[in-house]
Amino acid sequence: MANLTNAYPYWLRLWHSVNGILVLTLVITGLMMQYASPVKMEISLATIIFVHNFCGIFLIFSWVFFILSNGLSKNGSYYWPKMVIFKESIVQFRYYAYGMFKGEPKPFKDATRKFNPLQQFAYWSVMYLIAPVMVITGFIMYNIERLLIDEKSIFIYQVCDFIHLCAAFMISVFLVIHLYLAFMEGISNFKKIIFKTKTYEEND
Amino acid sequence: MKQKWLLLICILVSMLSVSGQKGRNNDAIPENNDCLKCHKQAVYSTFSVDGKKHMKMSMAESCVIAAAKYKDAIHGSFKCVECHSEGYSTTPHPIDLKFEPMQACTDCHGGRKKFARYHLDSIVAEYDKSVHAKAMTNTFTCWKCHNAHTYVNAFSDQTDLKAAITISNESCLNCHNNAVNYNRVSDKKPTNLLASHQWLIHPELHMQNIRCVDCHAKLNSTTFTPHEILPASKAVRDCSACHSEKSMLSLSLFRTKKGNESLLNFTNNKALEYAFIMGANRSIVLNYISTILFILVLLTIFTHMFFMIRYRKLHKNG
Repeated sequence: MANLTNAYPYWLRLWHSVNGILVLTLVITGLMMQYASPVKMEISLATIIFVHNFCGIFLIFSWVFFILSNGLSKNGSYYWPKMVIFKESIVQFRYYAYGMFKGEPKPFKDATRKFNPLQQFAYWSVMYLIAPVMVITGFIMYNIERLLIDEKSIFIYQVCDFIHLCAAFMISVFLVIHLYLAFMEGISNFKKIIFKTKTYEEND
Repeated sequence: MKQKWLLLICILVSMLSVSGQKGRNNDAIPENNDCLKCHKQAVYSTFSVDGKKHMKMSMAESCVIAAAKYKDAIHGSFKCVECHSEGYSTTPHPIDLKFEPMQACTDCHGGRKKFARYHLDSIVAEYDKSVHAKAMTNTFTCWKCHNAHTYVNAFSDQTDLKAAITISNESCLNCHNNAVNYNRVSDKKPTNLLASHQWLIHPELHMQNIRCVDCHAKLNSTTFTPHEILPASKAVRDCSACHSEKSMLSLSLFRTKKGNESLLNFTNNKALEYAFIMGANRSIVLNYISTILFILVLLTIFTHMFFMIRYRKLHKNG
């Protein structure tokens, strides 16, 4: 459809690549920090933390860029869900779990839609809910030296760490499912993403 | 009557808790007042040798006693002349007393059953291997770090760990962050501590919340405060030594602390009341939950993949 041929502009694909590399690095270094051990570690923990902090700060800029670009372009409108999303997500889930194996057509072939309801809900949640939580809690922990007012402030750090880990876990799960669904479409799907030929119709 | 007993118990408990936090709170020793009249301040009054002229004299820094701290210190119940020569009872003090050697900790505490729990023998053995003993054989004594007039056994009750850490670090910083004191025992220039600790991720946080000896001394199992101070090049530089499940701090700084059990079952939970150590404080419960959930996600994906491949094969074959 004509109105979706530019659904993947250059800036978005560049942002997606950078964001993907950053998130993957953050997940790996985050796991290495959480499960640090003097016996198993090949790279020093200080280096791992430095890389994690560096990527985290870079990700803040990347996230702000994405949010601003979404606000200034049409791209943002593809993410914001309406209340009907819950109902639609069940239909989409049923298709993934059962319908697609029975040869049923994709339930949402609306030409104005860039994402199916589950994608839309997941992407919106990750970028507009979980990412800000990660950014805020990460920023607090990074600046803990300046923010620690008294000994009771350590509780704030503990809560931030807990929320940061839970959010990181959700993003890790999202990343695995996101990659699986992308591969499910076949290798050609990646070619389409890279060479900007992907439209809703071609994705069918 | 019962209420009176309860009140008495409450008063006793509150007195004990206060004394635990603020040192020993010893009774003032009246005999010491004669000494402290001069020795508690930097300037003292005296008369010329002929007794005619009233004079103000400067007290040598090493002879000034912090009277309030002494009262709360572990030796605060002693009369001055119990450790110092009786000769000091007369003023002006006989000049030859100046050459009297200072008492070392082991002079009173060494080899006595009563003080066995302080492991003085192990401390001496450790100290002999330390960088201080090796570099300054004759000039370095217990006094350089431990002032017997103000010494408090800060870690014995651990009611205030943060205060205990500050006290412990003060004995290091007293020289290592003070060029005048440092040059009394060494010809070298003291290192800029903040600059030399910049490699740490949160340098100030580390320097305020753990003891210098936790990284700069060899860990041992007998004494709470290790005394085998290592050369700077051999100090702990591996972050994961503390920031891991088997955190070194659990065997040193938090060794005598009671665990703080919670529903989330954190590893190294002894630290939780006071700090949160990334990598060391892991919730075992959350780790299990997240691992199980992640395995379930992977199983769902593999099942989906299996049916997907099967469907595509069937579809391809017609």
